[in-house]
Amino acid sequence: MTTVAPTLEAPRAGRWTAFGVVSIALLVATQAFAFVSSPPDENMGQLEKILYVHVPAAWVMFVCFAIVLVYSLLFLWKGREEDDLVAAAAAEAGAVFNGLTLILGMIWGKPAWGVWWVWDARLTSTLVLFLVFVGYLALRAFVEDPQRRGQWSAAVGILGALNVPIVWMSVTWWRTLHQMPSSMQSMAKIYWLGMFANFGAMLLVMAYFIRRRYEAAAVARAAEHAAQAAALGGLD
Amino acid sequence: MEASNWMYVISAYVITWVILLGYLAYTHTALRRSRAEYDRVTGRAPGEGDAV
Repeated sequence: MTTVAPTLEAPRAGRWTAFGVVSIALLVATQAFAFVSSPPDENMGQLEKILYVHVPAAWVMFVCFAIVLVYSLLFLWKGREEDDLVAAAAAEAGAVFNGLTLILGMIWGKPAWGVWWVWDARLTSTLVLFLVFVGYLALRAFVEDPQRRGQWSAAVGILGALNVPIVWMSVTWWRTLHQMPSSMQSMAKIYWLGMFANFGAMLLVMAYFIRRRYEAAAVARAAEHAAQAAALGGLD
Repeated sequence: MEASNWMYVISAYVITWVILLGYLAYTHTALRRSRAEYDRVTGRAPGEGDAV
């Protein structure tokens, strides 16, 4: 049984603005590098350039949901409100990258497969993951009590994160339209370099998003605590 | 075929940046509102005690 201690303090901004500027600049640079340096693929032609945003967005989405899993478990274990807020921030950022992954996959799918969407195992499981985390965010918006909100959303977050291995393995378990994962042996070094560089930069952008969303939520909660304390006469 | 593929490639990058920058703007707006509310409740001057 967790309890939410009303001791949350408003975090200070620190140097995160500089971190955000550097992260965004780095992502612009890595995208430009991958875009310019990679030759057209033998089969896909110029469409391979879409993979420098689609694949890193998908990997970052997985990282976000892994963070949700870890911080949801921490919240259920220790009952610290900060852990719940970090999980919520990661879930929201994860939903953004999940939505981006789906849209980019559709943009790639139309010229490559001839269709915007197909009920393929990878696409469908990724859509289910997206809907679970949209539900997670909706749940948080509707539950006012912080303790219940934390517990319920932690349960949904853990269940949602457990869907990640299904998404990852879906192309192996069910051989449908989406291609199998490429390996470093099957792809030229220049493609991998572009992909990992973009993944690294997108990871930094993700960290910035999560920090900012956590900060906003923590400051809002601290304001609520302060208002409650003032109402009880505890604030001079 | 090649020309139409470029249209998809460019669309993908444009949409990526619209989503990322849109979310970035949303995070900043949410944070600014939270800080304003906190400052109002605690009676602090706006931005007081915040680092860069």
